Amino acid sequence: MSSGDGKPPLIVAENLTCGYELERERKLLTALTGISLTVDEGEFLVLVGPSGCGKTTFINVVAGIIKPWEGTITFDGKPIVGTGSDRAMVFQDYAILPWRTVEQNVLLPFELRDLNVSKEEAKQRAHKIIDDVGLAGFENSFPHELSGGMKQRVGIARAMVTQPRVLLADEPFGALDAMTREVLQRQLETLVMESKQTVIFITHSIDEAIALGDRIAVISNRPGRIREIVSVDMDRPRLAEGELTGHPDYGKLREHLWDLVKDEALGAKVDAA
Amino acid sequence: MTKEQVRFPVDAGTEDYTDEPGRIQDAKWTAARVWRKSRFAIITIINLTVFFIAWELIARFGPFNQLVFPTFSDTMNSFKIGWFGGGNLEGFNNRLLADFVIVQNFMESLKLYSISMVISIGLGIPIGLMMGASKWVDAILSPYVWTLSSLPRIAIYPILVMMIGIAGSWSFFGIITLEDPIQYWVVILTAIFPVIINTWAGVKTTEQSLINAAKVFGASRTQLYLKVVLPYTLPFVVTGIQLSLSRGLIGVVLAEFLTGAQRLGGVGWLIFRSAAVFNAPLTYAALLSLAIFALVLVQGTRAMEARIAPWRQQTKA
Ligand SMILES: Nc1ncnc2c1ncn2[C@@H]1O[C@H](COP(=O)(O)OP(=O)(O)OP(=O)(O)O)[C@@H](O)[C@H]1O
Ligand SMILES: [Mg+2]
Repeated sequence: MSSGDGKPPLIVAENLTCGYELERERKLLTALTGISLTVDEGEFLVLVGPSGCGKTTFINVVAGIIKPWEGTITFDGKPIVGTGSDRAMVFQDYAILPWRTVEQNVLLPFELRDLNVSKEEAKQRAHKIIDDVGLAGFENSFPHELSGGMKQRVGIARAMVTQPRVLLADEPFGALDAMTREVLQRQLETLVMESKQTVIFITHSIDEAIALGDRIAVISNRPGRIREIVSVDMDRPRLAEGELTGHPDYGKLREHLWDLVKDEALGAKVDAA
Repeated sequence: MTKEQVRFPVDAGTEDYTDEPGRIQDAKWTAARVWRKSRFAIITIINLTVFFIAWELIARFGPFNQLVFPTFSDTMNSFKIGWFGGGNLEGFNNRLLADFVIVQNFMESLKLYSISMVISIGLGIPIGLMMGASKWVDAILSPYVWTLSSLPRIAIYPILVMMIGIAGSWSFFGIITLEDPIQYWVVILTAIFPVIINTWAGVKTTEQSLINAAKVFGASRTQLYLKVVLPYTLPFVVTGIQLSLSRGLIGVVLAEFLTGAQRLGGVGWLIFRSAAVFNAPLTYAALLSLAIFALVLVQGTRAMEARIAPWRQQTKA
């Protein structure tokens, strides 16, 4: 589902370069360079790439936490200058507040921003989403009483509860067991099909990328560049029994992505050759 | 009452536990659980009993002179007279020992201690917070904080003596009068730094990902401090207060050793003086009082920590 239906893309990144100041070594580390990318409204973009290539960095730029060194990034035509209620994020390391119960963590977005939602409605929504991610009964538990996968689900619930325009998901299912992972993947697929949720999604799993993405951006070794953007032209739902692996394009697509990612994972050797 | 009814629920019957998935249920008070929860208390009681009996026996029949190593019973006698009075001092070593002598000195120490601790904590937390939150405040204050906190505090005692003298009193608005203000200085200077440094460390080590999350979900700078940094710092503050409370106790004894008095110089002074006049039972009784106080204090603050930061549980290794 690439652009071309007339509407301008929701997110436009042009020639982004960003990185970090390493205070101890007094050096600048370039994490990403020359990133040009668009995301349409309702599109599901997946980012894959070797560890440390700058996927989290990119998603943080979209979230408005990190300012790019060079290049521009716009959201809905306006430059991104900070965070906003239209973009919510699921963090790789959960980032839920340990002193708050599950419910209080999920209510945090309503507490921090005035979203014109009454207290009762916020609570109702929180309970609904906690139920949806399978945490019913744990509303009053503290994070230290939950498993890693359960914590991640709190993070997912917190991001979804405000119904953001864009969901930024940084390896949201990475810490989950295979079964929960599949359940949540299916829920996400349903959500995407029903409400045309725009998603930027990071994963290390090629299968997950194919299962969920409209397009898959493969990012190269650090400093990260876009190696290739692969479109996935398969109908949804893809996660129903056998749909995915039985699809005629599946094998080829998987192999192609594998080659790209493998090249990057062995990046140093490729450069030398 | 039938036998059936008084049966202790050793066997938590299957009817009490359901297979309902994910249900959180109250744990039953089984005999095994009672033992698990209270075994440390039982062991402690046995341990202390053995300790006190051994003390008594060694003092009576051991190689030490009772003049310097009193028996447990003599110590308890001094303890009783010192705390509850009504003692028959006839035939007893009564140098310094008098009805209520420990209570009276204890109250002196308590005044010094509590006022100094309130000041240390009340100043230490905001100083630590400001140093953690502002690079400027940190840069300005940190040389003093780090130097003073690593210097053995007793080394600056002569300077304090030169500056404020050892006697005298400071009166604040006629409400409260502090005798020997130098003692307060000594205690505060011993106690304040753990609070400052721990609070500072809490602010500094607040996890970046928590800060990022709060930002993504819309936290303003004020909200960031109120909803993330402060709660994150709280257990560090509690640790700082704990350290500070025991440091303060050292400070009190130190201050009382140094400034001395004729009478009612505090528990530290009593320990020091009674030893100087060879009233060993009183020395031990005063020391025991101090130890009990310190113990209650430390246990109290540990309970406080468990309440304030339940997510930072001790690992049950
Ligand atoms: N806070 C930081 N300070 C300094 N350098 C950083 C910081 N965060 C990331 N980096 C560096 O930037 C590079 C990109 O990091 P990033 O977290 O974006 O990688 P990633 O693609 O998300 O990796 P992973 O798949 O392991 O999560 C890394 O090489 C890392 O060394
Ligand atoms: Mg990452």
